[in-house]
Amino acid sequence: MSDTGFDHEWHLSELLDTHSLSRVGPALGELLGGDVAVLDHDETLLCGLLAPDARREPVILELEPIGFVASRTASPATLSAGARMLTAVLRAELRFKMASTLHLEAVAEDFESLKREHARLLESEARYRRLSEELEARVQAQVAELEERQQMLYEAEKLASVGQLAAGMAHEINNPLGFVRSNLSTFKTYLGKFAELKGRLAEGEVAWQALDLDFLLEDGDDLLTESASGIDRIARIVSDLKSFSNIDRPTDEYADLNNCLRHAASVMETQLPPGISLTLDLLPLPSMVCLPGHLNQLFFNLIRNAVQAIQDANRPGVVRISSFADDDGITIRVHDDGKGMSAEQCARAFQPFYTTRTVGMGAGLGLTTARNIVLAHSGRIDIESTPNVGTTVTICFPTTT
Amino acid sequence: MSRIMIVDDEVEILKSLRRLLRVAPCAYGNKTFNLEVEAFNVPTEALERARHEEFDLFISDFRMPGMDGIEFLKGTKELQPDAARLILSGYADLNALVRAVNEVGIERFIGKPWNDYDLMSAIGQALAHRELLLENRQLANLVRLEMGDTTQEQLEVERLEGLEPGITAVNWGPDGSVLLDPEFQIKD
Repeated sequence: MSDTGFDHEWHLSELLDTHSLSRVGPALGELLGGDVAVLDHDETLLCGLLAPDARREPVILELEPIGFVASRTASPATLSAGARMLTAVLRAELRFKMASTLHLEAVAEDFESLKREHARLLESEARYRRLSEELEARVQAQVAELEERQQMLYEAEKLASVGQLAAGMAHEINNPLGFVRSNLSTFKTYLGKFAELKGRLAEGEVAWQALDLDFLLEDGDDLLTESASGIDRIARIVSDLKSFSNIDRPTDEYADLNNCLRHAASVMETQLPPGISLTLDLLPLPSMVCLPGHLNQLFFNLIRNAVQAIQDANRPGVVRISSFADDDGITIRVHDDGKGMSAEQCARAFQPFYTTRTVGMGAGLGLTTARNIVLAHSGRIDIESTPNVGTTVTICFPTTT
Repeated sequence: MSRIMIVDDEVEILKSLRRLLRVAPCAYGNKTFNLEVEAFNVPTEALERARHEEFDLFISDFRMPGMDGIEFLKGTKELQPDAARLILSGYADLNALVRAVNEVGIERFIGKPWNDYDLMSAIGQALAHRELLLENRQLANLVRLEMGDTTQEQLEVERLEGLEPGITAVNWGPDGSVLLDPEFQIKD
């Protein structure tokens, strides 16, 4: 049993405050007709005067006396009546006190639980806020990682097309290298014959005929001409490759897109499968601020796709590349009469990693890269296709005025 | 005189090879070969020529429009099984190499750009190897003839078969007729 709860043992002093005592005490004195004192349970005087030989009458609310009424003059019956009277008053007071304390306790209890509830809410709010911050950080980390991966894949795609180029280039360069080298060493033997002539000058015309120098002179001339043209071919391939490969030069330049188209086409031409040809139909274009390396890659990707579409159709075909400029800007078209795509394939063509090829034959990033490059130049790219008839990719760049 | 056929889609390559084969000595061991060269830049034309003329050695590029080097050499193998075959190519793709060895049984694969000396010695070796094989066969036949394991008729059959593969076999039709072209189908 607590000391403060509504049902604790009440003391008289609690039940009757000074104000009540000042009213009850004198009234009791009048009733008892003489001296009277009200004592606490431990005999502390609360009001009145306590005569040394006064009789005491206990005031009992429950079991134990909580106080005493004392008087020397009053008769025992009167004193007992006085005590009973005080008891009745105290009972009423007790009920009121208990009720009010109970009420206060209940209110306090409610308030406490509200406060606890509030604290819990605050705590959980803080927890959720921490969680959401953590979540956000994790999402950002993952987004960064994804972007890095994507970048790596683009790099891989670029490397793959460079590798493909290299294979085609090796063949293209090795052919002229082969005959130039062989021709030159043959020419050395020809020179040997002329050196031999020097030793046989005395024989004159006979030696000339015997060494077959007429033929050597004529063939030597052809040989050098052919070798020179072979070297020119290698030089052209290397320069194509060089202008093609400045993909990573991140500087804007004024460039004629027709040149980019020509570069991409000439690089592709070196690896055209039999039966497939490229035609260029380029009208004059205004120069445009762009990243020529990126555009070279863009056009190369598109032309390569077109060539592959024809290869997939298993028939000879033509890739037509055209360009023109009008008030809306520059328009470039790459058309093939190859395998074509269904509407569904068309719709997904630009999606990263969407490919119709078997694993290992393409990452499905060619057109995605192409679209990104076009968007980076504030352009537009559209694809139209009919299965088994062909595909046209149209790119528009707005001209800056 | 050893007869060599060269096939490459690049005319300049053919010209430089012609020059090389004309001036460079072709020898192997103590043997020297005199070469007679025919060059073609279209494989189908070359194959047609091989139907009518016998060659000792075929040298072919791998990547050519229309027909690749392996198809071409396979064709020559059917026509002239005893000839030697080389591939001279700037495109060394493992798949192509495997096919060249497994399907054609080429003597050598030479990369472009080639080294003149290597090429000439490869040609010399191929020709010498072929001669050796033919000589071996001839000697073995002589021995077999002496031992009674074979007859003059059988050797003659083999000789004819070598000249014109399939000539000694007769394709009998179901009705007793002789089929000259077994692939031919009578259309209803």
